[in-house]
Amino acid sequence: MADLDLAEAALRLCQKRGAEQAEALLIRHQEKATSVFNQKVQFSGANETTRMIVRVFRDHRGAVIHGNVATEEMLETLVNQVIGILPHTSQDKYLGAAESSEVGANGPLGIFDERLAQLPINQVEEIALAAEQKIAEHDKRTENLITTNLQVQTQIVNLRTSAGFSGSYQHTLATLVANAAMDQADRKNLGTAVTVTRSLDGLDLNKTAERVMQELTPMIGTRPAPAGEFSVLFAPTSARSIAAMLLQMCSGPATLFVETLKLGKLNETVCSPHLTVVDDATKKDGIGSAPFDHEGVKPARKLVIEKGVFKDYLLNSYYGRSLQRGSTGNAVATGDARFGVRYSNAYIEPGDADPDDMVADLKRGFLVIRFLSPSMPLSTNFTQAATGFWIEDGKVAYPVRAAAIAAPLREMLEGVVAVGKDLDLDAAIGSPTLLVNKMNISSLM
Amino acid sequence: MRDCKFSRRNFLQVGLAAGTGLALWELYRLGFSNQIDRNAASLQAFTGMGLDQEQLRKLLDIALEGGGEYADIFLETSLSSYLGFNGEQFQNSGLESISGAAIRVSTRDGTSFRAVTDLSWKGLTQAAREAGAAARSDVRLPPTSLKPLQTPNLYSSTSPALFEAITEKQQLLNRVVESARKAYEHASIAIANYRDTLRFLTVATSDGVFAHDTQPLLRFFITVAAVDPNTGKTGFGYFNGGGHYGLEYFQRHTPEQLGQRAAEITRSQLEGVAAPSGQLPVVLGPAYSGVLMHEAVGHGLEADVNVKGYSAYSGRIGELVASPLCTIYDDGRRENLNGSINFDDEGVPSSRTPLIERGRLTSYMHSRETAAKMNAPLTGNGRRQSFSYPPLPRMTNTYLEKGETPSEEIIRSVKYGIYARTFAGGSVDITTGDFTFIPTEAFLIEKGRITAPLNKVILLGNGPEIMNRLVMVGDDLEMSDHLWDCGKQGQMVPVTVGTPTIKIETMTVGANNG
Repeated sequence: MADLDLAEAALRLCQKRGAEQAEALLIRHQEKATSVFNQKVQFSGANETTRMIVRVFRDHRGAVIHGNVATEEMLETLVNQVIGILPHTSQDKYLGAAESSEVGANGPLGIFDERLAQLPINQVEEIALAAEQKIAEHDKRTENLITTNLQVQTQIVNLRTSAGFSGSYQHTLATLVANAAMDQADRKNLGTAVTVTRSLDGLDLNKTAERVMQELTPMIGTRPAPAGEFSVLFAPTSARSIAAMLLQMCSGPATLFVETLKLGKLNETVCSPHLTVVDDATKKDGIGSAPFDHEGVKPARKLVIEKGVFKDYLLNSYYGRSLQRGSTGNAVATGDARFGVRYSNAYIEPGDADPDDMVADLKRGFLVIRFLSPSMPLSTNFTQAATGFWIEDGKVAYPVRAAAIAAPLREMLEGVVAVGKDLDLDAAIGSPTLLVNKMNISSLM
Repeated sequence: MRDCKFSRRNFLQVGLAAGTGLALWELYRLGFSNQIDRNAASLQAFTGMGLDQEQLRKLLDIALEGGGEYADIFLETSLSSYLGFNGEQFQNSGLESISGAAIRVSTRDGTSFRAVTDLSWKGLTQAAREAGAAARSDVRLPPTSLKPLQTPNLYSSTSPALFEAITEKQQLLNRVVESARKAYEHASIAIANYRDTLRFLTVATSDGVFAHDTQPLLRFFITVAAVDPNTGKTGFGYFNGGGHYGLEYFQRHTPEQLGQRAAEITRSQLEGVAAPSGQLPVVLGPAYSGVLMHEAVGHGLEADVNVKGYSAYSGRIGELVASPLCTIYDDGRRENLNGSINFDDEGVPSSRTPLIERGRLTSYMHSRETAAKMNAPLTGNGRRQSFSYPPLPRMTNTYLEKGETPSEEIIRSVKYGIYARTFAGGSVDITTGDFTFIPTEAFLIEKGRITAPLNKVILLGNGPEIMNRLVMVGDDLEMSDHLWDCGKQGQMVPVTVGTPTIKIETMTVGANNG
């Protein structure tokens, strides 16, 4: 049975068993992966999995089931189990599938590359080997200390819902992670670059090698940063985490916490007027692009924050109803009958400042390249550890291995005084360089 | 066994033969409706997922047809149930199943790997052939006959939580949420999430290991947000717990205690004062502070990064790398803990591995691959998130051995510094050894006494440097019953940490207002 027919059969069975509304999502996933070290293929693997997700609603109750095999024999079991959970759930007037007026799909988005999907595993290995070679050519000191991992994924997504939606699409994704180590002064240093692309042509090995070197070479002669309050410049590689935090603040599931913690409300100022945040699932070749979300809603480009003002949420149908708004097409299937919310291609819009001028204009401050600490749940404070460079009189004075940077979250977001023009949206989230006027710094000695 | 309608024969008929994992759901139906004994004996029907030893050996033989020195098969099937409660509604009730197999072939140069969810004999033999074909080796070591691996069972639960009534789990979550709300008058949001899993694993290797494990897992998470209407201050806290337990976990840690801990952490965030920043003496409390050993030492001692020479600890076996007060173990053999395993995902029994003894580096943690490359003994650390991933050297339960100093004496020794008790997690750059971790509860120490709670603080250090600045070790070793998930190369595995109270001479403290 074809995948969409299987989803259709699951939907019919749910309705037969008494579901008022139902959805069946079937995702087939194929992956080829390789790891190369010292010009040898250390690991070469392939992986094929299938995930079936069935969500049902009745009498304002909802339940969901996930199974990683999908056959006709399995459907009856999955449906019986998920229907059996329904009486144990609470009634919630906002629970339900997307409305029939909301469902639909965008046209072709250039997110599938047949050449990438058909790439045999030996060619995946060859590309990883070639990437390693490129890095070694850039700097012989990294020889024997380079690892490249290349992962090529193909997914086919099929969705059938009781709101009348029926759709499927396929997409490809290649992720190249390159690491190179180098002995520098009294310690080792590791440079890492990640390239994510939808197409074979997007695997730019020269660019990957250059990025690894950018992370590696400047870390000679590290010193601690001075302690105290200073301006902080976030390079795009770190500023994207700030973009992710803003998107999290504006997502439906966070509303209750965000309002309780007084981080912001719709149509109020939540950050600096220099910041405009966009989520755009329709971007051609976008890493986060999709013609429809996991509820069958067609997403559009939206201004989430405009000049510092919170203008639009990221919502699925549950949170859309609870906030008396429609879904924004950001649903993602989770184990929760409400489903979750995720951004698609999200970014802070570029400003007009030249990033080199932003450094040159800085009397004293910290240029953050990368966060060392893990991302944390939303809180009233921003406290992170980071690596980067100390700036004195507009010039890089020395690299800083690790420093803690901290500020109350609202103060930090409102303290963005300049935005660079250097947005390069090469992942699902991006940001240009950002300058925050004042944060507390304490450095590792 | 009560009216057991579930047998190996049933399994073969409805499960593997159909290639669907239906048997797992049948087991769930029977277990949930109390139609079978829930003990391990009835669950043994899942041994080998319906494949007998001869079939597994045949698959290994196929995998090694084209050459190779080693092959293994990893079979996994698991079922999870979960739910959430916000104080008014049970919001996310659901079930999740996973079934799949992975076949791996290793040669002197590398490893090839195939993972599939098609568990039909045709699907499995095709995966074995593909893994073998990709391995390409002139050397061939044929599989030996399989012998069942006997290991003591570290999971004492006799009744997996998966089979317990949903209403019982709902009552437990209700008690957790209610106690959090009662424990702190300013708590305005309290949400509890719960998940239990029953996981069946089978490993067969070409060097003769045949191992089967049934792992119960339980985890819960409570989040609390609070607002003080008088001051307008807000606070946010969370607490979690779990391990290889059934619902008896909630007898060891009552729902009331768990709710209260989440409320206490939230209170400390809301009422906390601005922390000092800079270089300060830091005392780390027992149990949860073991995250220091995990981040500052453990990751750098996983052997894969040492094979490549990436770690700050590479090539330093036998050297003094820490204060002589430090003895650190990775011990997968502690009963019921989140990181405990009867054997690892390569069929190697877990062990208590001394990593650092009196400051001297003694061992790395190994998978089969790294042990072969470094000519080192197996340590039982080859772990993977699921069948979809290849095993990597990973920690289990990592802890610092206890010392002799009473914890009160350690706190008394600090004139002005920080005491940190619970943590949200951390991270490390294994090459430089620089690490960070984030306390969820921290306090000021003034004149030898714990005083004010502190607002959000972050601690920074360099692994080898900090472990040399460890100047006092308490006599109060505790393992954390907190839930830790460790991430590496996109794979999460459950781990646990532990430590007695310890004092770091000075450490970098980051905070909002210096």
